[in-house]
Amino acid sequence: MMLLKAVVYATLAYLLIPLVVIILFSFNAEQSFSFPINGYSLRWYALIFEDPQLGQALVKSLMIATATAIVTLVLGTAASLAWLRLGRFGRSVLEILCITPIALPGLFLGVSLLVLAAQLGVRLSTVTIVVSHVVLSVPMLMIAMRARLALFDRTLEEASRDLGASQIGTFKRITLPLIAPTLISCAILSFALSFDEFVVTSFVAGTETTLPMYIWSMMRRTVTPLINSVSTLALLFSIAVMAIGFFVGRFKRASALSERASS
Amino acid sequence: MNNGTSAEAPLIELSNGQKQFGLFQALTNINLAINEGEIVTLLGPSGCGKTTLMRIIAGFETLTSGTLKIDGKDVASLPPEKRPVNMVFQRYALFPHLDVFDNVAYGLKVKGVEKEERRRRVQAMLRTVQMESLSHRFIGELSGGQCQRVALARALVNGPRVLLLDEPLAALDLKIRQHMLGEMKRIQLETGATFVYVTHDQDEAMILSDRVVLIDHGQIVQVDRPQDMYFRPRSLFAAKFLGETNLFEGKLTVSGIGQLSLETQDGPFEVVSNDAAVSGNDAAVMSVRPEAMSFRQSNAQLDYAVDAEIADVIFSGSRSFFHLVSLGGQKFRVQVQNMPGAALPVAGDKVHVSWRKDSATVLPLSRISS
Amino acid sequence: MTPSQRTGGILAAPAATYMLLFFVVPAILLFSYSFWISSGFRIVPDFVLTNYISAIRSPLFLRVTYNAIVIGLVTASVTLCLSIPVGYYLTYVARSKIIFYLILVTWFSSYLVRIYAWRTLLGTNGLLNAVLLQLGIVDTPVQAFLFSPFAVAITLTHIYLPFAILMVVSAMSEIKAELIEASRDLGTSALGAFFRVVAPNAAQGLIGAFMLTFILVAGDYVTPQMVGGSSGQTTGLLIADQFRKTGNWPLGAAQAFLMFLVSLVIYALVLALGRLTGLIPARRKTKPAREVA
Repeated sequence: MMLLKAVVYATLAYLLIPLVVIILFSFNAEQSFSFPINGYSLRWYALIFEDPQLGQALVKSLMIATATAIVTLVLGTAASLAWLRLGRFGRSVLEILCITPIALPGLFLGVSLLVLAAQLGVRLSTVTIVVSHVVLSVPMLMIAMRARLALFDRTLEEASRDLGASQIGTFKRITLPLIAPTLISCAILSFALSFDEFVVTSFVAGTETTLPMYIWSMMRRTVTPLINSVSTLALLFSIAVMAIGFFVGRFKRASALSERASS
Repeated sequence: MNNGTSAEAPLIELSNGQKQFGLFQALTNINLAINEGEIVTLLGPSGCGKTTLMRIIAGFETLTSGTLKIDGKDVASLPPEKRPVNMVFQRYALFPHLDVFDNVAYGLKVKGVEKEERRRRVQAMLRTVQMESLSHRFIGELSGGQCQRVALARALVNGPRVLLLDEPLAALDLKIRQHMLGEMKRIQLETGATFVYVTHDQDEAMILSDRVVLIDHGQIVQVDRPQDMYFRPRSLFAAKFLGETNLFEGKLTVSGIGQLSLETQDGPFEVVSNDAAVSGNDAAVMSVRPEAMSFRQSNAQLDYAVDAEIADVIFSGSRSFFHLVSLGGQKFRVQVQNMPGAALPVAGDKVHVSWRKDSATVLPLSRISS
Repeated sequence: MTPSQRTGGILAAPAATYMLLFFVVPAILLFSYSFWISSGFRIVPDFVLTNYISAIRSPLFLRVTYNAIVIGLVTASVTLCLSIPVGYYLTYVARSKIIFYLILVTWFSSYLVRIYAWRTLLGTNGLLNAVLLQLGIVDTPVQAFLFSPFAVAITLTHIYLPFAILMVVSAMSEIKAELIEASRDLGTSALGAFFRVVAPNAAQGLIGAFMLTFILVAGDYVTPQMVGGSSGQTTGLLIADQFRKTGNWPLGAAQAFLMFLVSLVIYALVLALGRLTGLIPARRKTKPAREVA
């Protein structure tokens, strides 16, 4: 049991040390990457604001992530409601279509979308980026929703109809309030996923530059501590987005719990 | 069919109802009339079609053919929300994101009942089910019995003409179940609603119902008052499904003019029952309840009798159960009310067992073989 | 079809159409591309195996594919070996929310940032060398950490481990703790209970985690490019280059499907190995037949 605990904590250290190092170096006063660190400053953070291209990339990434989250939410809400109603066969078809991409490398998805765009003569743009990000985030949403909906008691909808609510009224008063927390946290996760996406984006971006693509070019161009400060902010942003996701998820857990208790 | 003698038209009337799911015939030739104010139980083994029948009345399923009238009106085209019936679901289906009060108020709210009126009616109903003190609890914080009360209140507050209950006690412990049965009877008396109650539990059916509708393989087997169904089953299925019974199997032969005799391993029994749907040369059984049998001397005019040996005795407080084997090799059981000081036979004893001719029913064996 | 299923069909249509259009169709198109030919700057529809043949004949392709398989197997094995104890710990020993959140934080922290972090850590002046020098294990900084298959494997493990842990946790959470207790009660050790009860029941999830890690690692091209040097290149990078630079798209498509084929073969081997060692419960097919007869 002690051994198990040791392995668990060693693994955690392995996962966290690289992130901690990046954060430490972002406050490094010198332009070096060697240990030990001889002083701290915020100069690399100040530099961020002097780089207009960085700002543009950030805005573009935020726009793309927002669009991705909205499209994913719309498609995903309909698909989850469908999942509740379909028979076994329909469910399998929907799952194969909407979950399989998660088991494929981003390289494969990126390249195949690039080929499609080329064949259709579509110009690569922000739109193609959003299209590709939705292909990545729908599977994640479907996995999360499937786990949530497995707990969903469909007789609740019947009870509502029985008590006099129409189909639309039932959706508004019963179904949506019960699945909304999961949907919203999925939308937030889609946002985070899109905001950080690089592998697929690099194939379908054309001349557009998102934040990860800009970081990538910085990484290839030079070795500058600016990357550390940008990375630290990106990291904090991811954590903040996730924290919001969990805040919503708390309602989700509470409702799931009470639902389980009632059945 | 026994529809009672009320002069009014029945509240629910099903004629020639059929229901098919793909190739599966779920319900066949259903004719049923339910009167205002009755408690009617749909009783049958799982998968017999009783829940389907209830869901058809509620509007969640539609008949493949036949008609369903509620209050004299054909409701085939009415969706569930437009029907004057409400349902108590098997696992209650209480809304987990609403508290007790809002669950009960739900139906009135969607119908647009004005707020003060709504509040008054919900509170009155919560009082009826004795849940007014817990009205702001969430569903996850309630016990099974409390959920049951909320589910009843949520349905009844809408003043339905018919309350449908789908195995509402199945998820409860035995003790709470018995208590809730009493409660349900009380609430039915207070509200005067018509109850249609689905269950596979014969005890619940007999305790609660004015009439029992026995269903097997998608067909109505018998509709009767509980006591009639228990003592006068019309089929072997009914005899076996309600309570425990002893079956003496044999062949019917004509023993005289208009007289039948059941030839069994233990000799012939003269058949007196003339309502039995049996005739000569049929394989048949005589069904006798264990509590109808006794160890007293028989009267050849009034009683049937066999000689048997006691294999085992089980004492269970108020009653004793005797496992016997007749001289003809037939196994059967006798139940006797225990009295202090009464001398009862023990295992190994040879006894004479008798029962009144009118307590036995002779039933055809061929029709239903379950 | 019931009315409810019809409503379901209508609701499923947008997502299904979307995925059909932007996932299935492109995949089929890519597959057809692998039989087309690239002449000059044009790609001409055709049906030839030229691309597959030239891919297999290329020593570079064979070398990087070998690299990808080795790095993929090592990474997937290490990932699984680390995610099983962590998953077990989180499921049965301590349902620690903090550990769970920390794992999620790593999962959601930027992919590029993590690669970059490892480049910093493994560099000549990096943390690893600093620690080794401090401890006196080495006298001069080791140059060979970075730009090697080792660097690729350690970075990729870091990238895919959180996801693998979550998969293992979800597979294990379906196995009740009572099963382990029953097994202990019947005389197996803690480790024995894992191999006899947990592993066979979680086999699908464990193999899923292994295979997913393998496939994603073998298809990763950014990590090899950033930390792999010339000895740590994998097929992913070769394929990516065919499409990013003015490369040969049909050849790239053929290489991608060859890699896909390799993954299938590995999957079959892993399944066979699992059955052989008894970790995957093999269904006895003769049994029901005997019962019927």
